[in-house]
Amino acid sequence: MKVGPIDPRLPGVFSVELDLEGDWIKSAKTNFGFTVKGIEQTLLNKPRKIAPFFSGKMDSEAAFFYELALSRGIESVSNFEPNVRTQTARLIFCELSRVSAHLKTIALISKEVEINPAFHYLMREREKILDLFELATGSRHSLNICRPGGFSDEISEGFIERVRDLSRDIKSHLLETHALLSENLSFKKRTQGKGVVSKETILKKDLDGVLARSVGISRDLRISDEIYIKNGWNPSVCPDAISNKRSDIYSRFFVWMAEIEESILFLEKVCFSIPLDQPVTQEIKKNVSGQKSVQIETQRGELTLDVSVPEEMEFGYETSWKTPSKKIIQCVNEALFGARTEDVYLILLSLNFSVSEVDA
Amino acid sequence: MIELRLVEFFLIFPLFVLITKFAERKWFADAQTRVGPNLIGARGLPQPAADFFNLLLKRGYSLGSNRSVFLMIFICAWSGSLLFLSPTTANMAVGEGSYSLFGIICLILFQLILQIMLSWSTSQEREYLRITKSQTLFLPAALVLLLVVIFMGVKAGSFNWAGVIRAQEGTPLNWGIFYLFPIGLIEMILFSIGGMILFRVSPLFDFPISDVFGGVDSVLLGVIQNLYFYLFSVFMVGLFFGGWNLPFGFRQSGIPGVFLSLIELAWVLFKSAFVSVSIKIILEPIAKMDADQSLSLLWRYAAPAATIGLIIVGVYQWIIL
Repeated sequence: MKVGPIDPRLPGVFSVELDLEGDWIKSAKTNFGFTVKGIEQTLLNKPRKIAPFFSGKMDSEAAFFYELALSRGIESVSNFEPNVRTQTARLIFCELSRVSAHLKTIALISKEVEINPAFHYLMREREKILDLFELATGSRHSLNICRPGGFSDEISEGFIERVRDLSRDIKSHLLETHALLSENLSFKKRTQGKGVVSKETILKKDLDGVLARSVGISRDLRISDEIYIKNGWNPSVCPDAISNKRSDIYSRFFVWMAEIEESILFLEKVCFSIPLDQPVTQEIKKNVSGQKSVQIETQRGELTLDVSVPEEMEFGYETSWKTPSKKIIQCVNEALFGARTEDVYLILLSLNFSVSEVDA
Repeated sequence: MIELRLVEFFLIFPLFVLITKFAERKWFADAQTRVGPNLIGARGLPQPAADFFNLLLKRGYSLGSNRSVFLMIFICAWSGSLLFLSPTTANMAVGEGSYSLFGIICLILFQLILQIMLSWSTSQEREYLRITKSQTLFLPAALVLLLVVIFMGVKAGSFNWAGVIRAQEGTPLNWGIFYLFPIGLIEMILFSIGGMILFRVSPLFDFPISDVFGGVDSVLLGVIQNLYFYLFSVFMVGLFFGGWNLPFGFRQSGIPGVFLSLIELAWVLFKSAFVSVSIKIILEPIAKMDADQSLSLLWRYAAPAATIGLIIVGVYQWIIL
């Protein structure tokens, strides 16, 4: 049986070929490549000034991470260190993107199991975050704000105050989501023991992100990130309650919720400590050629970017992206094994990979 | 009273369904801090109707191009006959038929036949599989509904709508829901479970999450879904909430027949709206059960409970008589 490639219930344009025994799935094979964007080639050919915009197209759900990865790569080639205000503002955007993406994932899962109130409440919170993005950048998804050295523009007036208010709002509304989903027996029955990925597979395939954390592996680049260490923000990315030997939909949901809470805590701290007297619109004026590798913890997992800056100014940047989704799709087969066909969409949503990243 | 039936069918029910759909969309829009439907007419009130007719002509995403044809069949035949069999006023012809109570089961079987036709028509294997699977749930769900209907018939001593509703005359304590308390209440819950499982597993209503992206299916089916939901509530009102029996001695007040029928209709509509909204609110935070859970609930709990209820009411009526 074939699912996709054009199906509004799938998390993107791809297809899954299922080998069935009755209604049970024996094996699954994914086919990608329907929407290849050629971003690496585009970055090589386009002017350097607009490169972050194209890198943001890697994943429209959290474009800022990709803009940031490219910017940090170029900064590290040039040995340029942005000021504290820029770094803190970037952190705010990162955490907001993370919260927004997680909220959407949980909302889609709620919708798939038809718990509509949770879907609507979560999407409402996400809309507020997108409103903030719009306030700061004029855009809700492809933000196009991060540049090598800083930001393309000064942060909008009132943005930080609104982030602070929003953090407080989301924090209180998370309790409602917990009441609707975490202890909801019907939700547990639909999600526990489904979409299982074993700890052995996660270790063997070197998976990270939510999949790793949902089996108790405390792996997060933010722990070793200089900015986090310098400012004393120690993320407890792996919730204490989880010591599973396998990752199912419910345990992943639990990690998403924990990560949202953690990100909200960061935002609250950061908004009070952000310096106000430094510019965020710095630019790297000196052209330095070289090659560097940067790693960023996105909402899906570890993103690695190898960036090379050629000497000739007529070229853009040579990049090589190792996106988390490319790792996650390796375990689609295992997650779908033994599931019923009606759970295919739910399981694929819960794996939380981006087709856009895979096809990039 | 055929004129009243036609007014009900062509005016009151569609209007009610579209208004409830509009209210639902506004409510959801408010939850998402959106404006909601506002393009057509005064404050966007006719928007669901406009969307419905607009989208009816378009191709659905998931079931292939034949979906619209079957939706048309569904709307014209199934909902029409359901409506003509629904117990809304005392003067309708079908209410006095000997076994009109079993009209519900006939309609469910009719829906099953429609589904089989739908499964034949689809070109996609997974849709065929999904529809076939939902058909396996039809048997236990219809069995539960049948047992509850027989329960009410035995209780009333009659298997037609008029008899069942006449048995609930007087104070609300005579309503089916309070019969041999809590057995009547349990029967009502069983009827709701059976009906809702039919409702939720039916491929006609089991639409994808495309409304996140403003898809075709959800708006189109949302209107039909509301129609089904509302008519199901009318049956529930007839069985458990006193049907068209008016409170405060209205029937004896000498009001002319047509006006009395209109008042009865309004009373049934009011109670049905209440039941419909209550069930929706209860269902909202409950996750949709998968096929295994539904089968387990129906075969292990609902069907035995309905059988036990039937035995109890049979023995009780036998002792009384």
